[in-house]
Amino acid sequence: MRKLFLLLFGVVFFATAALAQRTITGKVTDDKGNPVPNASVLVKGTTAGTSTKPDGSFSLDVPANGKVLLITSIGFTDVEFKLGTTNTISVSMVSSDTKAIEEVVVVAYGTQKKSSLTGSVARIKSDDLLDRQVTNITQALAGAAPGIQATSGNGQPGSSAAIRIRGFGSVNAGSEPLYVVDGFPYGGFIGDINTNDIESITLLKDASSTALYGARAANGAVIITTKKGRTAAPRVNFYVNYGQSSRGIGEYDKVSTLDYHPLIWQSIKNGLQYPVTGTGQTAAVASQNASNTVATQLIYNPFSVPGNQVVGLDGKLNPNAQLLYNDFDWYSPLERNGPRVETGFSVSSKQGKSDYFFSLNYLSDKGFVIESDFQRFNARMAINTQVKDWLKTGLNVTTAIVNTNQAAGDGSNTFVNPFVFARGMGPIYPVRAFTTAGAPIFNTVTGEQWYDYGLHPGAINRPTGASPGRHIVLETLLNKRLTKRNSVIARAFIEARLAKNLTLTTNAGVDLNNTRALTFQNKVVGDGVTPGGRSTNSANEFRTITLNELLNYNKKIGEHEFSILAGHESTKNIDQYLTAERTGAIADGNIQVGNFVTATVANGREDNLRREAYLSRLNYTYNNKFNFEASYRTDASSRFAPETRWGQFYSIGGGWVLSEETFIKNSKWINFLKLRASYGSVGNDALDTYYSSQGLFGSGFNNATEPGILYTQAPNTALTWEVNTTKSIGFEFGLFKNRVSGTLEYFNRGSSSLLFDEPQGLSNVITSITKNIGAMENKGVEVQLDLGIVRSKNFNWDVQLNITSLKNNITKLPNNNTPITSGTKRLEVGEDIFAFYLRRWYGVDPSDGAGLFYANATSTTDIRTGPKGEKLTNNPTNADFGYAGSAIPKHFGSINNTFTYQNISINFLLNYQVGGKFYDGNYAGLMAVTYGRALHTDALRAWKNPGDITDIPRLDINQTNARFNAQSDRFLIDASYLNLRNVAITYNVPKTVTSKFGIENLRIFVGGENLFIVSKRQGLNSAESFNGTNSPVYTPNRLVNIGFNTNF
Amino acid sequence: MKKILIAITAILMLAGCKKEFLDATPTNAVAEADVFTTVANGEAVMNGIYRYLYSRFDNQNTPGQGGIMLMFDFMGEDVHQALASWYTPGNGCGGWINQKNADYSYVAYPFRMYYRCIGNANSVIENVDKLIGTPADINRLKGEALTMRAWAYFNLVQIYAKRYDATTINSQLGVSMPLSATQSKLPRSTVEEVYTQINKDLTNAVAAFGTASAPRNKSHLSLRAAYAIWARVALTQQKWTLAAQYANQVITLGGFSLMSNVQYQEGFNNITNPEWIWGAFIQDDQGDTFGSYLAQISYNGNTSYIRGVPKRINSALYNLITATDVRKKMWEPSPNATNFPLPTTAFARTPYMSRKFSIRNLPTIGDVPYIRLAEMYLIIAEANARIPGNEAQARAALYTLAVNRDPSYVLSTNSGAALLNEILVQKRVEFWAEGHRWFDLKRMDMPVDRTVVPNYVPASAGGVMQVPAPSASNLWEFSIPTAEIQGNPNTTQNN
Repeated sequence: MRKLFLLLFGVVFFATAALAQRTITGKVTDDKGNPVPNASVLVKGTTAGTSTKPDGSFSLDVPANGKVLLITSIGFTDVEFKLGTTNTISVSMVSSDTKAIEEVVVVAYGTQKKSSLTGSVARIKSDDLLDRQVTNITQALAGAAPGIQATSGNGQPGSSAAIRIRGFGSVNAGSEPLYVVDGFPYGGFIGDINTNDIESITLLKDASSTALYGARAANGAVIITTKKGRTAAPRVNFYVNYGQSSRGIGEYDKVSTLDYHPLIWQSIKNGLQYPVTGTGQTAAVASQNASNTVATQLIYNPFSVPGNQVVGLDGKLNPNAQLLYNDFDWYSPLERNGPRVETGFSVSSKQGKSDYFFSLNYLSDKGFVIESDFQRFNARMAINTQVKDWLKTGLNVTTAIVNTNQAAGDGSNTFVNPFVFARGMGPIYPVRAFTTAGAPIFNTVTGEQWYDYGLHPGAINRPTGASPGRHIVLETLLNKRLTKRNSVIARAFIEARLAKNLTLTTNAGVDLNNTRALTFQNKVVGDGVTPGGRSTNSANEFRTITLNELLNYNKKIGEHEFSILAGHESTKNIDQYLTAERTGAIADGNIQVGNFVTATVANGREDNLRREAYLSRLNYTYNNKFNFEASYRTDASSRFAPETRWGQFYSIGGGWVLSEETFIKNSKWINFLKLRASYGSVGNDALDTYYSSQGLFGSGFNNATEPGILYTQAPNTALTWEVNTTKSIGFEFGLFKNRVSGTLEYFNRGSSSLLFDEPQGLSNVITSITKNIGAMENKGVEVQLDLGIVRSKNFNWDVQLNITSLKNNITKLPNNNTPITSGTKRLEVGEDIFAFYLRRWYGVDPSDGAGLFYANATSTTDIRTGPKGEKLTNNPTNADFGYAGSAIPKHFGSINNTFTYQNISINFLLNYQVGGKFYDGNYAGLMAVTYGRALHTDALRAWKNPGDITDIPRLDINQTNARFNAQSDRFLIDASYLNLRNVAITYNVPKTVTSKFGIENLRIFVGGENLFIVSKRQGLNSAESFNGTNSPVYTPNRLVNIGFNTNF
Repeated sequence: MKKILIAITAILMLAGCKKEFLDATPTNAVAEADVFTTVANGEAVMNGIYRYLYSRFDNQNTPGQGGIMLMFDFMGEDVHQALASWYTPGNGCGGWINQKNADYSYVAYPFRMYYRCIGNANSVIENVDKLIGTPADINRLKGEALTMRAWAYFNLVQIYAKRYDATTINSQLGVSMPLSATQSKLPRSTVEEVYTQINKDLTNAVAAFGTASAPRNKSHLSLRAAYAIWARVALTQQKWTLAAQYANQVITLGGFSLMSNVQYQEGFNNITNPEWIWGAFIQDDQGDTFGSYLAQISYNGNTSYIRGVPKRINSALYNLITATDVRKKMWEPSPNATNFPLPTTAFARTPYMSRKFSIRNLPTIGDVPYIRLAEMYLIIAEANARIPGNEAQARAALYTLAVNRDPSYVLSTNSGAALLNEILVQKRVEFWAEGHRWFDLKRMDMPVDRTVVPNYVPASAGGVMQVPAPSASNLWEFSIPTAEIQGNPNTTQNN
């Protein structure tokens, strides 16, 4: 009976539906009238649908209840077409790119129409990221918008670039922007995010836009929003990229094997001839001694003549000297072409009241240094559904599994750092072992030539400057520095409509990071030899849990539009750490701690950081012409004492769309013009420690077996939020049919009550106390220009330019504005945060080649007089110090060029910096004279004989390092650079072709990252840091890439 | 349903978090308020100071007090190496330039290290009387803290001020002298004032130790250590009678004895040695592979510095050691694989290299000798040699030590300058690399002369072979570190 009824019902239903159906034919075109093939045409609310033919036409049977057609295509804004009585329709689609000015932008706690923004906001869309083959999204932020400065990062796969937005906010607290992922401050590693999942990145630059993140957005915010399902027809996106990494910046110019002995000879001879105290030897005696000494000091002699005959009394290489072997390149066995492979797919759709998006991604990025790689698996699922007409909910979960091998190129001066070892190795020391007669020494068991690591048969030791007993190639091969990380980024929300214009949203966000790091030092060569192998294993669990409740009210009365937001938010960070170390390997090949004998380290701790906030915002728009925004937020941080932990932050902003006014509206050439201004304050609590307000005795100072503690931190219960106040005024414009558009903006970002480590002097039990002392400002101008230089049917040329000019100025310091000198810098009122303060280098004394500094007023010893009566000294202790420029450039920016010819587009992105100074410590290291250590080719220009005019002082084994090379402004260099950051050549396979294969679109591209970097010195990467100093870090890589991306 | 849901969320939203939500405390530190409650807690602070004395300061060659001992010996002529490396111009003060560079990290190293000890000792001294514990334990703790403060100020004033000269009023600038945790940013006291305080602290310390419980072990300062330090202080103040008296007190109190010739060859790495009065007591898991004392000065620790840069003795001084002296075995004039075996082939050999120090355990573990009994005999000898008419006592004290080291030693017949010189040679040999030479030269107003050292390599010291005597040169007063100048507006820089 039941079945019969069902059958009957079905027949009746089908018949009715069939009877009522009609056929709609039509054509879909873009805004220029070109056909849009392969667009999806769907009857809204049903599954009936088709796709357009190559000429854009379609024909579709539409049931009687079908009232609306939903037309979607990649690159175009979705169109909902209401069916009337006519059966032939034409639909025009608008490209989602050309509507730039009307786009909706993700802002703090919501979205906003771009035209109604009052703050300074920049946006990067997923399309812009398509061309970038970056493992870590921060690498794509450089040059993306004005006001953004980024370091070039380093070549270690997966590593982050440091980002600064509108200058430098703090001296002792963090200056990194806040990263927000899908609505919540992100507590994980940026490198764990799959760049293909990113829908958009919004950069919030001023207080008006960041104020709602109050507490933590003092240095701007980077808001990352992930993709969700948008199209009715399920869409599959699939991509494969393949690339190769190589070294992106060449090595410093270093002296060759043939030049090395003569230079060391010179430095020995000069040392004997020009002693610091007493009388020197004559040139002839010194030369004879130098010829003998050079052999004993350099120890190795790769030449065919005896050691004491390698350099003649004339200081030149013996003309009869032949190389016995040639194996002096320490970089080549460490380098490779590192393959980068990335593949993944996503499936997404929006069906009725629900949408979904899921994706998988696999990435393997191998660095150009052996044993350095980054492997990541990402899986993501995002579901949103309208449960009831008043209730919406969604869940968005990303998981990442990361395995990485880290090269020791972290900038520390250790033997295991390839860039320390290979850079510093004198050019006469071979990688593999040879006898003194020049014959290779073979391992009798394996038949391979031994590495020259000091413990092989027939080993002799290199001198101290050439890392004796160590071997970077062998150590890199045998050691391990592994990190494994599991991350979860989860976001969930429930949104309830309480009344007509009132919604309540509860959001929950969880970021989990479990990191295990395993360091293994082998027992054959290096640090692990003595203990017989060492394994260190550490586990870090970092959790961020955030909850917020937001109340939104929207009301439109005539031309007046209001929206009000009120909310509460709380965040908990839990940081747990456990480490264990043992030495003495039991079985070879097993590097886990349990396989070692003696426990040497066992340690652990847990730290907590909590924050709570109440927030509110009012937006008001009149007639799409006037916009007003005000926000207020109060924030508490557990970093501060109960009395002082709440801070108040606010902002106001206004916008006036001048182009809506009648006096401009009729202008032929002004399409859009907006004036906006904002003022507001944000806070910063980003201190290194979690408990800065408390007086503490630190544990970990046990004396033998007795417990021990030591006073480590003085209490400061008055400590509170650092406040950043930004004033910003700017124009946004679109001219000549939006062929010229852009922004022009002035900002003044001042930090007051700076979290400053006030020096207490070294005679105090605590040497610094963090206080709210000090003030600083960053003033600047930003220009962004988007030019549509050529717009024709087949050829488009678009250029985006941005330029930022920035000045930083310290306005108040602790201890009654006492200047603070540290390293190469000095902080002083009236100077900027990165002002160099160094010994003032004068030059070289032509009479004896001594390096001379300007002498300070008080010194009386080691004084020489310059040709113009200058008071000079060859003793760095007596040298005068002075300011020598700043690491902050005059201006910086980027140029992004896109040529599009039919289906081919060529895009290249240049980043540049003009001006600023850089202290090239790596170069200074290569100018030091130490037996066995490499030398820069500038050493060839050193002073040799009385009367020589040169800027390089005499090489002197006694005095070069102790005196002449003392840190001075001699080692400063212009930091200007030009970086071809990205090139992408893209071919969009015509839809007429792809549609034959049922493919919506197919994009094939070749490109590269960091294709060249030009700076003032070969080997120098002046984009390495903001403060203008360098260290031996993993040199940036160059990536050449090919790939495709398709939707079907 | 809808209403309930809304009500719940609305309540959640309005309620906010509990007040305690925002209170967080560390797990690797103790709150200040909880520390000074019991003697055991106060003792933990004292132990923290002892541990700090064998912790790395910053670079690998700054292992607390051990590193300072070496740094200052490298400024003399008896301890040296064939190459520029640690302790030489780039990484220490052996080149006699950088001690006048206020920005130099090795200038801040002794300054900060001793002041940090003082600051913590101050908080113990201030609170010790209110701690819960037996009077004997309270007195022990008080004695330790006072001795620590005296010792630290004694080192500071020698390094950062002009030498104490008993023939004048010592009104030259000494060092800032905070005596409680609330005092900071003080101007520099005079040298005389600093020595007065040192003597006062030692007087009080000796009194407190008089009714104190026994020291836990030799890593703790004790009554005997206090007297030993006091003897050093008196010798530096040229108070010869007192110096001899305090040194004698250490010997009379007993508990220590000179080591045997066998023990002398055990590597100076074990606090259980009967001669050690005070030292660092280092467990296997408290070592710093590259940043320990023995990672610098032992002959067999497997570090790059030890492998490549053997430490050598002044060959002229070596030649003064008699053949039957056990100390002759501490160095090897012509080392080879047979007479000087080394752990691996990667270790370099160089003439006159030392084997006085060796590691106790892998990788570079071993204790550090701060004060040894032998010094007391040398102080008695020197003080008496300088007191007219006391040369017999001087020779006798010297004999006790010398005959222990060299069984064929006969009682000295020297007198006057020759006797004094003999005592000083004994001291230079006995305390090679234990941090005495620079302080002795400064105290006695003597120059550094490396030109009389046949095997000295000028390049290892930036070419500086001669330094004038302290009275003729300001090179002997280290600069006040920049960080102190910046944080303490009331201090004064040395010229």
